[in-house]
Amino acid sequence: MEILDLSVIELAEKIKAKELTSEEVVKVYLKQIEDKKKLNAVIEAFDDAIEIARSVDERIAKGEKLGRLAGVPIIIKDNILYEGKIASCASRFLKDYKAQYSSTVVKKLLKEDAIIIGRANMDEFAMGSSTEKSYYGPTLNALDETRVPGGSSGGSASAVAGKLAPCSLGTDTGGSVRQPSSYNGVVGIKPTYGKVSRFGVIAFASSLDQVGPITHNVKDNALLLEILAGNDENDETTLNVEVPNYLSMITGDIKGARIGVCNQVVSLMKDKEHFNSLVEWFKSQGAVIEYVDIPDIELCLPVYYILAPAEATSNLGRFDGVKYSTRAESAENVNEIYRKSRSEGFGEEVKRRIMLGNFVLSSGYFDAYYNKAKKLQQKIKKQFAEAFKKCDVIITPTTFGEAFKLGEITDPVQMYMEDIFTISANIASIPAISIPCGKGKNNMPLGLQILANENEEGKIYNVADYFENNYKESN
Amino acid sequence: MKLEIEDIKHLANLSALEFEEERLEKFKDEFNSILGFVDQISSADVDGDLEYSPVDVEELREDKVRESFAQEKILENAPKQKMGCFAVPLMME
Amino acid sequence: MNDKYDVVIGLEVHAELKTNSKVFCACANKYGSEPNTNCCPICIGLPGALPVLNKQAVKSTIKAGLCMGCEINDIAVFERKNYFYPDLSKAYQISQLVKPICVGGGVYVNNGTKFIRLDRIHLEEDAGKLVHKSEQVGTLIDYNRGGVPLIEMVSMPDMSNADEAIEFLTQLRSNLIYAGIAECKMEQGGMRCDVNISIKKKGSTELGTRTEMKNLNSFKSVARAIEYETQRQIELVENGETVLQETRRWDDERGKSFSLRTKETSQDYRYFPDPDLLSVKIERSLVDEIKKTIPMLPKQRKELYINEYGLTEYDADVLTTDKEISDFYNECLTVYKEPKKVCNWVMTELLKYVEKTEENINIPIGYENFANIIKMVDSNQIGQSNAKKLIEMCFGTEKTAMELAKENNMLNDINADEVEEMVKKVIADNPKAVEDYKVNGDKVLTFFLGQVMRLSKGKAQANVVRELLIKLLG
Repeated sequence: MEILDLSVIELAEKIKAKELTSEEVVKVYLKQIEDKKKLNAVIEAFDDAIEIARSVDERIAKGEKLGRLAGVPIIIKDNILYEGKIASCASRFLKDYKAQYSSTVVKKLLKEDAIIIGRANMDEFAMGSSTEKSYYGPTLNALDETRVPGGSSGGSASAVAGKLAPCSLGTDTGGSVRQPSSYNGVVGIKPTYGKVSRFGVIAFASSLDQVGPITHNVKDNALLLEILAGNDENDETTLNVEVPNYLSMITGDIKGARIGVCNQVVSLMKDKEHFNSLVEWFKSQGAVIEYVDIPDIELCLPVYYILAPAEATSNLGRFDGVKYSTRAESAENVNEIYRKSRSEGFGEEVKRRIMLGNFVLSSGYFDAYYNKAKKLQQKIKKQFAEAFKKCDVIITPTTFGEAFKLGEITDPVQMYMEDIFTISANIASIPAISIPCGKGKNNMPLGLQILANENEEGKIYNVADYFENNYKESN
Repeated sequence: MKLEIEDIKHLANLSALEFEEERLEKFKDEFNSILGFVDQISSADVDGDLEYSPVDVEELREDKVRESFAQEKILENAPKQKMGCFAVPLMME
Repeated sequence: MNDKYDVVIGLEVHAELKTNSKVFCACANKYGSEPNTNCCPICIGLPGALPVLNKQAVKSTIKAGLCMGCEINDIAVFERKNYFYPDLSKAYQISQLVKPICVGGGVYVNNGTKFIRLDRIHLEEDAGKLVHKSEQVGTLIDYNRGGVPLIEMVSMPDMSNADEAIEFLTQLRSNLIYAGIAECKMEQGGMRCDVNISIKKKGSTELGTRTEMKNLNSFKSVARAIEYETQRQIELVENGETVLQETRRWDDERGKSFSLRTKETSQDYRYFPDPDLLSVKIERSLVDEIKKTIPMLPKQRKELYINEYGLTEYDADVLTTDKEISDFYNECLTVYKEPKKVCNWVMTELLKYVEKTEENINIPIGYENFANIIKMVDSNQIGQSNAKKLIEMCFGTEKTAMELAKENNMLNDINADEVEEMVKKVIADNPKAVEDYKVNGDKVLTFFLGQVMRLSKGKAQANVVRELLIKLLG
């Protein structure tokens, strides 16, 4: 079998068993990155990866006990800090910003002896749904270069689909892991809010952001999440709950599982037929279909476009050209440093959201927008909790359809609508995965989204794994 | 809710951003279309106050000192530094 | 002109808490280090850094609230106050608006006749320090102070003059120091004060427009700023001009205030709950526990001194002004339980030696020596004047008062016969004074008394000598 076809789990086993060296694996992937430069999925490949791989091989040769990802390459989204490496958030403003410390997720990867081989392209500051809004130019869909990879973790998803790495990390604030995973035919999860530490991850919207792994298959994904998850003393918002062994929760059986279908989501779909066939398939496999109501689910999108910009505007205040980030050369006083550096440093979409955030927070509007949105979020959370009394998971499409063409969507609001199916998991703080579920008219992948109640990632992985192994489109 | 050009200027000011005049106009239109979209929430019903999920005081971080970063490391990415400090042009206050 | 107007004053007082680490990171809370050496990703606001709340800072704020009679909220929430300024590393300050840790409370001023209400006490982070150098060097930013825990104590506009404001400040400060919450070293910026002032026609209920003066860092400048601003506003009104709602900066050197910004250009801070921090639940049991750790505060000590020890109000005031003095007095009483006598000695023979700056207080003698000397006087082991000399001898020594008295031959070790011999000798040696005594009486007696005391090296007891003199001079 070719190295590029091996899963994360297989690679780890073969490297551990000395059937493969980490060095050869890393070299193969680095060559892929070089060969597929046109995808523009990776902003920078890390040269020191080969050296680190070599040292892993040496330690294995010496018989040392290494971590669960020993020698396995991984790509991280460019908003995740890795000490000594640039973390630019795909922004001109941070193009030279070298991380002064490592994020918790990077530390966890390194502790398991994974080899971080590069940083992935993204929409600037994770604001976007197409990875067209990067200072480094758009990333292309690995399966069709005329189409977008989705966003904002488009680089991470395209990199896995294009086999530039066997796995990657993305971040998901409103769908930024799941929507690109869907568009690229890979597996991506947004964990329960607080499951994975945000320490060292450049914040977009703090109360919604979560790091999630992107992989070729569900089991790889479960292993990675298990490694990334856990309480972190550096992040107050991480959950203080035991992280289960997700792989052991995959039973290969969904008989009797209660699969929820949300009535309000069905009414939003453009292609009900395909979704209905999936529902029928689940039924045929012995699952029980439960129709549930989440009456206000449609409000998740406007709620999101109030809360996320509000937090973002405050989070992005620190980029001011004073302590780090590029300072405008023409600035002659402090005010000019702020205004000129920020005006030159940020792209259009980022500026739009900063302005929007300031609007909803400003005096006179705060109650009508921010507070109201917060209360609606609370209401929607309760509606989800109520729905999950009747079912184990809820299934929805991840997106309206296949990946759209580069440049096809220019209207901001239309772009925001891209997140309509994914956004509710962020608003409700619950986990959700996207897995491939066949192809559309243009022979591009479609995604199935599976949501569960807080801390129920195990249930998601079980259903997702079963689907992955048993669903055939001809069914 | 509809914003005027003056409102957009005020928001730019709060945001420490500057725009060319014509850009402001475009922004205004985009903004009003976004607002039209988020204004959906105004007709939605909400009940009660926000609930908190607080942490107990005793669970908070212990008051122990950890080693700080070296000065050079703190200043590593500073666009301008002098005498161990971040530097900006002289301020009049 | 002043008697035509009422002055309405409110204060916002900031004090840095005495903790080991900063409020949202584990860097040292330490003054006077090399610039930017007590810093980490969190307090300089690096991308991806997250705040983690310090337990002790919350507890100290609760304690401060209890000292000032505040209610403690069950739930406290931290919010972001957004604005750009170079001393603010994240472009927001983590503070509290809607649910502060403490609400209400207050302290009495004017001998307990006027209650100044507090609106709230909340916990926030201090900003870094800016040093404005030269055109060439520019302004330098040191974030060592950034993230130091700070409490803001906000009063209601209940004060009517500088004296009340100073007394209010003094009480807050001494309560914080007494309870070990803060050191309030004003010269180091450990305590700062913003003053809100407005004036209104006497008896009117209509409030005037208020101005705010920022960052006053000594009691003296608070008083001067209040006087100046009151006068400025009165003059404006008298001249038919209007007082603008504005923020002003007090320039202590020039004794003037300057406008910083008016209401039109005032900031919209866009407060919202910090999504990086959890809200905090404060259990009643914790509040009760903290209550037990509060020592007697100045007001309570004063009451004890007056009611139990029988001191005068004036003396009790003086003794409790500084915690160090009050503690010293209390400690003396553990050695020699004579509250009134000890008080007299502290007032007359101790305070004059105490060196007091805004930073600290230095008492040059240990309480054991001081109390023992009073005890020796009362038991006739030493004379008054020798006792006073002995106090000075105790400065900067490890020896006990008794050792020093013995070494210097100061103890009352002469007998009655020896004293009588001395009296007779002095009378014999001064025939002129004896004549004078017959005319001027008592006045001259003092002269004889002094002579005998000198002869006895202060060891004779003055009252005994006096009686002998009267008898022998006939």
